[in-house]
Amino acid sequence: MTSVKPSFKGRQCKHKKALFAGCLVWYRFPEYEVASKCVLKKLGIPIYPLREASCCGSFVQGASSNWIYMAAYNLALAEQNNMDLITLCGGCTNAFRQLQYSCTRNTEYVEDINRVLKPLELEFHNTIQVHHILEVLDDYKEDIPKLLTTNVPLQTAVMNPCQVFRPEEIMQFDDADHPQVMAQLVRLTGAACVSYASENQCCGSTLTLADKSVAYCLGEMRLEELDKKGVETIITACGNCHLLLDRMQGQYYSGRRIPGIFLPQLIGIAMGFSPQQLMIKDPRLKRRLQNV
Amino acid sequence: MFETCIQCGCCQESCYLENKGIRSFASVPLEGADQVNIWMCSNCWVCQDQCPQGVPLMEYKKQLQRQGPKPYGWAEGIRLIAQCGFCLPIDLDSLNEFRVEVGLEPITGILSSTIKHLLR
Repeated sequence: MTSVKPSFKGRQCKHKKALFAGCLVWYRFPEYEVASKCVLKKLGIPIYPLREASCCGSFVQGASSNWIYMAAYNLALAEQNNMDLITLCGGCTNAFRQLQYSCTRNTEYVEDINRVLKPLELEFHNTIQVHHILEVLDDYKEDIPKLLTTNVPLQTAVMNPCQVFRPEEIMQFDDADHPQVMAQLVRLTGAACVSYASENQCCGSTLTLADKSVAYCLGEMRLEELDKKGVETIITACGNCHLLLDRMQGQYYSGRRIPGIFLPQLIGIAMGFSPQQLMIKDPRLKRRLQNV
Repeated sequence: MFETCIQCGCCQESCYLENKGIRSFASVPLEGADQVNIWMCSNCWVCQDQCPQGVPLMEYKKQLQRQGPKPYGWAEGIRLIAQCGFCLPIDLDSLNEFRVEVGLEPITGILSSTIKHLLR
């Protein structure tokens, strides 16, 4: 039986929204959080802080089955505050949704989690929604054009955050084999978005923890492909994809630098925010987008 | 967990690393876990999605990874989570100073006693 995932808008009136940025964005990419908040505010979605949040638990999966308690802790905190979560990375989204999926199929799972959460005075009922920012923006794709003030004259390509689409049974978003939503959102801004062979392939960023040379080699192959297509900037929607681009171009890659920007930064520019407001760092891109 | 595996090789064929000649976790069903670096996987889930038998490959991977030593980066991230609740060395005082400068609200971190309890 296929369950129907409630759309983000459908839940809008019931719960407040908190942005769950996650460790990597908190630590390294504040611009993703800043730009997301600018865009969400423009869309009329107020964002509230989720206090005492921790790592989503995704990182712990390969070390301990206790990762579910970390994920459930964050979801229970959100429940206690009547909040749905908007996530920014594929890993956080995937970990939370894996847990939610397991809990809808196994009530004993929920009982076990609540035994652990009880001393913390938290309860988990699996009642909130977790959506990645891409899903939220997709739900607002008819509203976004009305809020745009300028066309962004850039040649771009997207890096699809694979964990937002897979496993298909759990994520139920877009076409996992050929995701379209991200490119469609980019094109709303007036930017050109080119297709390329490795567009739907995982970025490989996680592999830096196992074998850096493999991860960098994957990044290099992608950049060489995008260089030939004349791409000026790569649009990302996950801290991990962005990290690979940032790191490997800083330390390893000797070809033409192709800076990455987060999707909400691109949409923010089209909405009339300045590169400074959106914390766009790359100097060339910043100049390019200054007076569009 | 592999009871329903029919050795069709869809997992290996669908893996983007294998297609570039890089031996990955997706080779475990055909080659065995002792022949493969089980950390050579970036969690894209394609192998599991492509499995015609519905073998829970990613769950199996997690179980294998839990049994053995972790590569340095993974071990360090896990150590940091136990210490501060985040998988990166976040110093909340300096991070919050910066956050306020750029117009973001300060982060209220998780209590260390709570982390200990969750990961006990």
